[in-house]
Amino acid sequence: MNWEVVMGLETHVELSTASKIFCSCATAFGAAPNRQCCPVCMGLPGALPVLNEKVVEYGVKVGLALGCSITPVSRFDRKNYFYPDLPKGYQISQLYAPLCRHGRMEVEGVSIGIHEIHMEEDAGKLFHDPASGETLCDFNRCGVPLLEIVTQPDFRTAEQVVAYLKGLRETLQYLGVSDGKMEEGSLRCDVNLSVRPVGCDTLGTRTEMKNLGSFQAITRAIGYESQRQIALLERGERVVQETRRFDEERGETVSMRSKEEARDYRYFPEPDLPPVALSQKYIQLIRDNLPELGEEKRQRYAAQYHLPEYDCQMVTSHPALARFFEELVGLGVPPKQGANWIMGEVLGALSARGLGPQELPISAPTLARLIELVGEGKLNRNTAVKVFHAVFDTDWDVDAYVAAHGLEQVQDVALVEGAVAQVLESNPQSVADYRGGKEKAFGFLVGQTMGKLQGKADPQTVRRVLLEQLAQE
Amino acid sequence: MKLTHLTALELGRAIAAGDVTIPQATQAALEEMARRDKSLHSCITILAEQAMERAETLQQGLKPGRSPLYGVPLLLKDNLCTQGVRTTCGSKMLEHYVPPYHATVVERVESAGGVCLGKGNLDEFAMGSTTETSYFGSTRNPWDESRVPGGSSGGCAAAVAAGLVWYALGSDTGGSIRQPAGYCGLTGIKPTYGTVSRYGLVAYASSFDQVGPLCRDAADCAAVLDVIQGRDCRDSTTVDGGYGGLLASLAGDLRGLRVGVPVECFGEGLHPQVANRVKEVARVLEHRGATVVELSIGELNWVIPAYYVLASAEASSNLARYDGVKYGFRAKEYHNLTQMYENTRSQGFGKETKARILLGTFVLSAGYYEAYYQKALAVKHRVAKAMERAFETCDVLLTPVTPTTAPKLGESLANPMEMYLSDLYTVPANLAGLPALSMPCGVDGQGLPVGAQLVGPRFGEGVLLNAAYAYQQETDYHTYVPRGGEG
Amino acid sequence: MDMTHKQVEELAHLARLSLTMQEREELAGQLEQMVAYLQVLAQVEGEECGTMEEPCALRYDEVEPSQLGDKLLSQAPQVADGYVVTPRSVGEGGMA
Repeated sequence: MNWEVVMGLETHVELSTASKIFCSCATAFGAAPNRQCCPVCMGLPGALPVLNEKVVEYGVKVGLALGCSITPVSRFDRKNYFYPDLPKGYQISQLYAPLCRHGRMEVEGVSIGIHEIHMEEDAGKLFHDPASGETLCDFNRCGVPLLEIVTQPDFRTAEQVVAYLKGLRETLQYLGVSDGKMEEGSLRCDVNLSVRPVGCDTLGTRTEMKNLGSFQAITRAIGYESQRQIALLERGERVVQETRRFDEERGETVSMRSKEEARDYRYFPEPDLPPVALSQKYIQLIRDNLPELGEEKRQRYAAQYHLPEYDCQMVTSHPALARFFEELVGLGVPPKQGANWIMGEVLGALSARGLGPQELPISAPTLARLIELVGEGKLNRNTAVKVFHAVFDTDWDVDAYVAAHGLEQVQDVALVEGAVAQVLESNPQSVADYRGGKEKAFGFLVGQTMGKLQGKADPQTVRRVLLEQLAQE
Repeated sequence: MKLTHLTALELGRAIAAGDVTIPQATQAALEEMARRDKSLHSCITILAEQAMERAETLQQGLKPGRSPLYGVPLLLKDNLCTQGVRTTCGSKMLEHYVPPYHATVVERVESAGGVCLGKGNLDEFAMGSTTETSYFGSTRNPWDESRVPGGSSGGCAAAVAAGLVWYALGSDTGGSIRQPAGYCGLTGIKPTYGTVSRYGLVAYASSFDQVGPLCRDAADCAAVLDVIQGRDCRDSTTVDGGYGGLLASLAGDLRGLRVGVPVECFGEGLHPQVANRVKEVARVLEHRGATVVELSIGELNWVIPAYYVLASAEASSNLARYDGVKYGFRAKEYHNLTQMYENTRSQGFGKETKARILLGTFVLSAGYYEAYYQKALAVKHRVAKAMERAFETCDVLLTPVTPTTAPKLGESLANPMEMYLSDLYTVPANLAGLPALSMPCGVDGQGLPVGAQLVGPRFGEGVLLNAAYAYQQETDYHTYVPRGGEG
Repeated sequence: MDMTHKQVEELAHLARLSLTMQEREELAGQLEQMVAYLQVLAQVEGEECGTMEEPCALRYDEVEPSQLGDKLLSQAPQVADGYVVTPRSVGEGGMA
């Protein structure tokens, strides 16, 4: 029997607004427990929610970027259940009239349907202490704005799922609405998975997998769970509809709770919040001001700058890098060179310092000038790289630095010729080795010459002069 | 005339004129409280020291141009959050709860120079019609202490009627201002939904709750509304409106006023003495130039079931936050989280509250949502539309407030269904979000007050108050005081 | 409709209430009476109708820290190191 794995995703995105969705508390990380709360997000008696306009704006942006239609009048609903991280005893979410519907995302040649996108509030954080048998509650995260993005069950492989999440993350970053980092919890993914015989039309019973903290975990979980379900069905048993979590150590999915006691959330319209009515004008304004997203940039770079696909991918891997690249090109740097520097030195330096592209300390004008100096022959590439590292953290003026350290490349050919002559005289054995066919000796002689010139010569010139002089004798 | 039987505005004028000082008035009220409240039990908390301190401060700040209610002592229903002062909602669940912030209406009243004397008793979480479900015991009707003052704002009504304070702020979800006003011979008004902030009003049914005044007359109600009405950025359900100026625009001119009398409100179950008193109101209004028309609003027959479905549904959700986790009562014994929740909520809530929570849970539960909640919502919209249509042919509606005068203590709780059904005149205004006023229109054979209700279109507070004002120029029922209160 | 004890138990659990035998009896009766009364709603043609509500008032995305600090926690029944303490849940997951 050939089986097909069918999956749908529910992804929660933490939006990077300054304040929470229904109150003016900060969303910033790192505050002491319960110090970023107020009567509203703590659910005190008499407190009422007030909607943050940026959450709506970001929701519309994401909806438009994913090809959704924006619901002109959307509403909030209450999802009722008891848990210590939910102070009001209900979560304000959207069920009956979500903000966005019917979108689409192309992933690895497959079209993934976006069923809906809605706004909701996050819950607090709980810390379970096994020793004392108690739970510690921190409500700082209560009310942080979330977008929930729900797909159709259009996924068939783990690769598609990962590609979708990467694409989604990139879109979120380019829109500037979220970091989209799974490791930090600003992107959380639940996978609904079922299996069915190939050719079958109806969906099998699905399970929901939660607490998947990385692309790797997702891939492994999908692998395990699909095998588990197939094995069950092949034995003639039934798949139980339930929620499962992924145990990283054992590489297995484990049942969390049975949906037999499926929760009844008793959704009903939130009476404390009137409907969110969006005019066509408002939606159009946002649509007109959507930034160019990663895929558009890649296509444009390929067409406009003839950059190879790999370069395009690397340079657009983060919106800050793409911005940096475009600035370089705007300052006259040839696109390929700009891309090379970014893929090489820039990414390397960031990585060595554990920084993200949005934290890049060197500015585009500085790097552009450096590249220019190399182009003018005033610096050789090795020296340029040294200068790059020297000014990377401080963004010092390149010309000033070069002058201060006397790094300008030796332009005078006579000096080169003089140095070469000296080197050849001092290294007769190497000369003999080279003449004897040892190519390595040549490299040694180049190195010696460069050393004599304190590295400030153009290696091409040195090679040329060396060859000339060696040929002479 | 006894000081404590002046209207709030009369006291305000006396204070402004220097005839009486704020500390004197406050002291007088506190003495009345000490004398009468042991038996009336209108207050859960009395703020004697704080009130006197505040009175002194306000007296020093007295100067021309102050609000007409400056220096006038009042009572706040104990579901209005008062910073630093316990707010119990009449429940064991919040017996020791002290809010860290003021409700918006409390801020406004204090800005206008109000002196809060205490927190008024109420049915637990404002759910009830007699104030008998309060964890802290019942309040008695000053007109007859063997009877209820009404509910859920019973404490406030009893205190104003007995002359313990000059006015009070209550809340009305299904009639909880108007009905006690009716039973206690007071004038009370539930404003248009969305015109008074609910921020800091502990929620019972969010779509219906409104804060409003309980006073001795219409002019006082107008003055209080002028203080508390207005858009609040902390309450998303408040609306823009031309607020203020209600007191100034009271003229008593009723010429051309069309008074509608819905036949559905004068049918079965209405006590004849009540019916007669209310019909006489129509006569008085006619005498002042109004015309009276009969009309029929069929949708009124569905209001009680729709109201109870929606109100209990919202209540069941609004009361979910009382879980013993971050404030309020927590049970002493439990072995796990579920037990903590169950024990806390079972011990912390009274029977009527539990009943409404269960009903609300039921109508929202899977399989029943369409049959009950959605139907009730449809009724709500239809009633609102029907009322709109009614106001095409009239400017105000005149109805009774309750089918009878105040019942005896213990009588109502024995028969909850009957108690729910007695809300039939007051609930339509909550369902449709319309303003509605209750005013005394006489007494029955036993000397118990009878109330008449005027309902207006959205933002029609001015019309209601003006009609009541004119009526109170022609009659003196609003000046009656219960025995025991005579000086 | 008949409100069975089982139904009342289920509702009580959803609402995190534990009822005594007597309460269950009384409340079941009251609930049954009420629900029977509510049957009149079945006659209503229930459609989801558009409301006449005013659209949502929105707030600017600005941080305004509440000045309440300790006061918020001061009402909690059990606090440790700034956290609110509750007993451990038994197999109950959080957000679904």
